[in-house]
Amino acid sequence: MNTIKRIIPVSGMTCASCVSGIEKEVGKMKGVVNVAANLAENTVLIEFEDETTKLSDISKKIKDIGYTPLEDDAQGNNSINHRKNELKQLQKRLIFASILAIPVFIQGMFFHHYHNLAYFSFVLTFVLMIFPGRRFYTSAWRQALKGRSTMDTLVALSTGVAFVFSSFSLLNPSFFIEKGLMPAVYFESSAIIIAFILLGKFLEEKAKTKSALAIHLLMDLQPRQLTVVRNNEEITIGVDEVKLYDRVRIKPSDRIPVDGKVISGQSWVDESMFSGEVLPVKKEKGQEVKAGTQNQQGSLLILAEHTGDDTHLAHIVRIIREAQASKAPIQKLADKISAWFVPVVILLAVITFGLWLAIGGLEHLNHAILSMVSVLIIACPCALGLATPAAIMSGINRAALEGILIKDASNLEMAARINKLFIDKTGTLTFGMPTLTKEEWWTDDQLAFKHVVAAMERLSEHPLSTAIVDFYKDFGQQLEIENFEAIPGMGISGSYQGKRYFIGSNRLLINNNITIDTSKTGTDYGLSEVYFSDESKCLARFLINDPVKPEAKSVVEQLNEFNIEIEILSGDKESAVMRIANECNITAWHSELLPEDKHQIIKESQGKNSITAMVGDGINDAAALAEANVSIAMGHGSDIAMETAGITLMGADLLQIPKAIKISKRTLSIIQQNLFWAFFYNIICLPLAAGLLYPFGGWLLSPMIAGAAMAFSSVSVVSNSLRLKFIKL
Amino acid sequence: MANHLFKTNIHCNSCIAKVSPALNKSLEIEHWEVDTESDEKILTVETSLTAREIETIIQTLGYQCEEIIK
Repeated sequence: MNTIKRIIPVSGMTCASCVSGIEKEVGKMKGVVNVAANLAENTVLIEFEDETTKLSDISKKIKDIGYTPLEDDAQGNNSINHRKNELKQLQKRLIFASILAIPVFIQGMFFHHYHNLAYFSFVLTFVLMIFPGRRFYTSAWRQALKGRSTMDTLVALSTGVAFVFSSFSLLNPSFFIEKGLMPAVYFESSAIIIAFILLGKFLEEKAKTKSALAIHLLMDLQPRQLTVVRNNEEITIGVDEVKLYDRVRIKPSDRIPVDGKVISGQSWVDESMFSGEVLPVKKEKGQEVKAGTQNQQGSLLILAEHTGDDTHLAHIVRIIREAQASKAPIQKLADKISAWFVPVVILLAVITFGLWLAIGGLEHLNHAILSMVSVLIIACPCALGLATPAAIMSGINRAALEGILIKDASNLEMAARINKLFIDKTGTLTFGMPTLTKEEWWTDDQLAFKHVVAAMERLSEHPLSTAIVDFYKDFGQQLEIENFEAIPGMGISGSYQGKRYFIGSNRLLINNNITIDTSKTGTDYGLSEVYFSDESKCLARFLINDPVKPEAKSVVEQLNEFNIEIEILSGDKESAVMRIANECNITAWHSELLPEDKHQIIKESQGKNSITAMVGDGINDAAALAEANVSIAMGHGSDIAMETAGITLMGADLLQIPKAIKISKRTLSIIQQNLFWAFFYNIICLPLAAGLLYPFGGWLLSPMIAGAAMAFSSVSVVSNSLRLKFIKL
Repeated sequence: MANHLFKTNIHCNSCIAKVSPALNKSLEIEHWEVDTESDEKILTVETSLTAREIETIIQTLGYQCEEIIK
């Protein structure tokens, strides 16, 4: 069954209850496999079956529940613009609300004996509630009609109760006086709560938008305009007007706007953003160029083969966005709890009110009202809803800026818990650019066979083959090899002039019953060995050296500090693997492995309760990568490798591995801090708000303080998460 | 690299749009243009391909194409 993933930007989500509401309703739809609403990103990530469900149906459903889905492109241009607008709106509402709330506050605090001034506050508060504060009430009402409650419900209820009670006291003081009570008004509570919550929302949105923009900057690497050559005419057009197979003119110091091939011209292009390699790469006819990379001094004419949402850069941006919108396992608990939060809080508020009257009698009516308002306001679950996604967003962002692509939140969480790391040797620990250092021939007809070796190796993509091809550059150009076959983990075979030849490890020869004369191959240099044989006897041995990356040793040290055990998995022979292991200070290794052996070793290790990571370069290690808890793909990350690997490291720098783990660990600890504070805060503050301390010294939490505390709990969770931007790696 | 001229019936911009991808795609074609103003709708191609190969590319797309021997 085919499923597709889409990110829908959604406006109107305010708290953890909105998140669980959307997930529950949309999750019930037929054909929807997975829903993850994200409060920090204001998005809903949906995975659904293409055949049974349409995206428009899902959008409609979201609308029905009371939120606004937005149209978007793969880069999220619309949602960014929408966010900026929302932020501006919010700022206006905040300023308006503050102008109204400040006089109400001053009157309530310092001039509450002037009865006539209270009318003034009544009017101001009313205006505040129906203009800048209106959204709380309309949203609460919409949700109530569907039998649901969110943070808006709590805000609406608490400010509404305070306002209605105060208005009644103001307009009907005799009702209280007859009962021997002092009429009291609390307009300042309603006004200040709304102002504070708007302030909190504003700060939170501001931080969130900033974070979302950082990824958007990546997309800006793609130029907005480009010059195409159509029927010998150069026309400048917008990047979205370029057609597949247009020819695009790249001028000196332009950024490349599309993925494609060079048709003519010559230049050097800085591809450091993808490869990590700082030196520009030479580009000439036939070579590939990627959107977003930086042309240097030459001019190029290129063929557009992937444009718009289909470029490598766009794929990367999409993966990052999906990752940010995904949900960490740790968050599920928080979501489960917050789904129950609001109704429970309303119940608690009513109980508080009842207890005050039951214990204190009618003369405590004022306190009962105030405590109820405080309970409603302090228990808003918005910090709880933000605790995980804000940290995930920030962590994935930071990783992306370091050239580390983390596929989703669960990989991030898992990476923080890795305690065993398997690493491939060739191309991962080593440069993967092996060079042939010694050839040994055991035949008199070397020349003829060199042509055969070169021709066969040209058909293989293995790094060791490349070394041999480089060495025999001028050989075997015209030879036709038949029945070519690659035997994974062992080597290749092919026929020439009716005779079958093998090139590969000694195991390949043994499997084919070809004996290697050990008296000739006496010396073991600890280098990679490649044998060449015909159907009966071994004809030559090639010794190939692949130097270890200089940073390997320090990476091993850093990983050991994280208490991660490292083992090398290699298809190469024992002595070669041992030499590399010694050079890197790695104490455990497995050699002469086939792809399925690697897979088996990882499986066994997981059986022993370890969280395993596999670092490899993709193709050869595909099965092992898929089996590991966290798969880390190194190198120039093809689109497919990016989709499958849990973590993709741009470039070949091994130091990216401890960096990725460090970012994951810090993100996880920030999530834990956030969750702790969000829960702790609610648990501690609820009894205070209910008036638990009143019997001991008459201390009562003012609803205004509750409003401020509640606003700043969300702000503190978001700012705590933003620290990930600045941590030292 | 040689210059070939062809007589075609590529007479408007939408025809040009149809033949563009095929001509653009070949790395062996350095440069091409169609003069839709001319009576014979002359297609000029600078390429290392043979004239026959260019004719095939254009004819497969459903247009007439015939080399003008100078």
